[in-house]
Amino acid sequence: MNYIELIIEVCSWVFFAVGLFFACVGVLGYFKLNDVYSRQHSAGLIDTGAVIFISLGLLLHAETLVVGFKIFFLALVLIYASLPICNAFINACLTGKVKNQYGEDLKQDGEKNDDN
Amino acid sequence: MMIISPLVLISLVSLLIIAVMVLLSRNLLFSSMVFGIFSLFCAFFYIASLAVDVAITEIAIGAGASSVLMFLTLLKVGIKEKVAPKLSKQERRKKYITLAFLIIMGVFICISLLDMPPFMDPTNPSNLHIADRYIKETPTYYQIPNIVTAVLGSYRGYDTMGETTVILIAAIGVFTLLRNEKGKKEAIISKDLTNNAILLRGAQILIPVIMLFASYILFHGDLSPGGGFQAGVIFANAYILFALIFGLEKTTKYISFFALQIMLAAGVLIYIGTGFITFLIGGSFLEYNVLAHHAFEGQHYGLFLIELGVFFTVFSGIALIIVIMMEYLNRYNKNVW
Repeated sequence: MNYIELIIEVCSWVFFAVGLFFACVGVLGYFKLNDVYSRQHSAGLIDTGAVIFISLGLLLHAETLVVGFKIFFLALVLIYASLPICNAFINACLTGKVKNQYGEDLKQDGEKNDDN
Repeated sequence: MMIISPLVLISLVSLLIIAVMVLLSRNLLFSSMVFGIFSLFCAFFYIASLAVDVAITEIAIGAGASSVLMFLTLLKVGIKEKVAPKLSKQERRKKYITLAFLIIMGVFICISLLDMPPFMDPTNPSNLHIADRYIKETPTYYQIPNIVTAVLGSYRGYDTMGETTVILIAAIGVFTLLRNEKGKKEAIISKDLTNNAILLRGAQILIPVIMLFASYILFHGDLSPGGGFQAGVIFANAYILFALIFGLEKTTKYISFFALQIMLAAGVLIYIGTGFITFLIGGSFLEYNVLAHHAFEGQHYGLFLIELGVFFTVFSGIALIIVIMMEYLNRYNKNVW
């Protein structure tokens, strides 16, 4: 086997491993953490870390340019779709006055939570 | 014995679990959210059965538009399910009789399932009847690579016309029930979410991409999965996302209620008009071969025209239903959206 091929193969599997690590940590946190905010944080880990690293690993395996472009585009859409959803979800929880695990109201009265 | 693919098995088991979850939950918000996930797994199932067209539609309608519709309805009716009132003895007896009847019917249905042909088997009677003819004839007679489009537009043009008319009628129904010309001015002025920078940027990037994807599906419909219906549904989802984030005022400034109504009627008009044009040129109703000098080209023109009609009707129908719901809520719930 060619050296370059070997390096690409090893790199892609390293990327897969890192992505899987993020996914496992995210799922574990999703089941273990206590309130909706920290759970959303771990779900966000899956949306960013796992998606980015697994698609990087897949990119190294892409045989033609078209397939690579499709994977890149897919990852971009996933990230741009899921991160605003995380934000919207947390904003909805804050607006609905969902308490965190210590029973605190995170949104104070009169505070504007959804500015830049 | 045939082998069921693991994706089919996983999606079917998840569908069962999700259905039980929806049944057991008393929280309507939870139920409607889980219904969206139900549609997602339905789409997995369709993709595993290689019906990508149906999967696109299921995602866009079931998980997208109808979830929004349910949330808007929940804003009006409230999240908590009402507790059932205490029943008298006679009513309870009636309920038990109904339950026993339903159980007996369920047993009969399960027995009749044994007589069904095997699941997803290509040698089923339903697959042997006419599907074989579609697969053999379409490449030679119509030269359309995507057989589904040929079936929908060429073989069953009348059915698709009926479906388009059904969407027109549904949108007209919602329109006549909920739209009220009085108090139009106050209802339009509404809140938006544009002060949230992350949502704003996400929408600004996603909405053009979704619209581009919809037009790709529309124009590429006779070559790859998709067509007018899928394109219209996806475009309607982009419109709904815009309406949710930028508010009703801006949305109706770009594509107003009136424009949506015109599009709704124009779609059906384009469809039936294509039929009448072929009628006038000398073919029979919806026989596209006569539209061009060559029969194949005529097929392509005709299919494109009717898919354009379906696109307009489906897009404006779904967008109109959601936007009218939002306007109705604004009028009675004091500017929720």
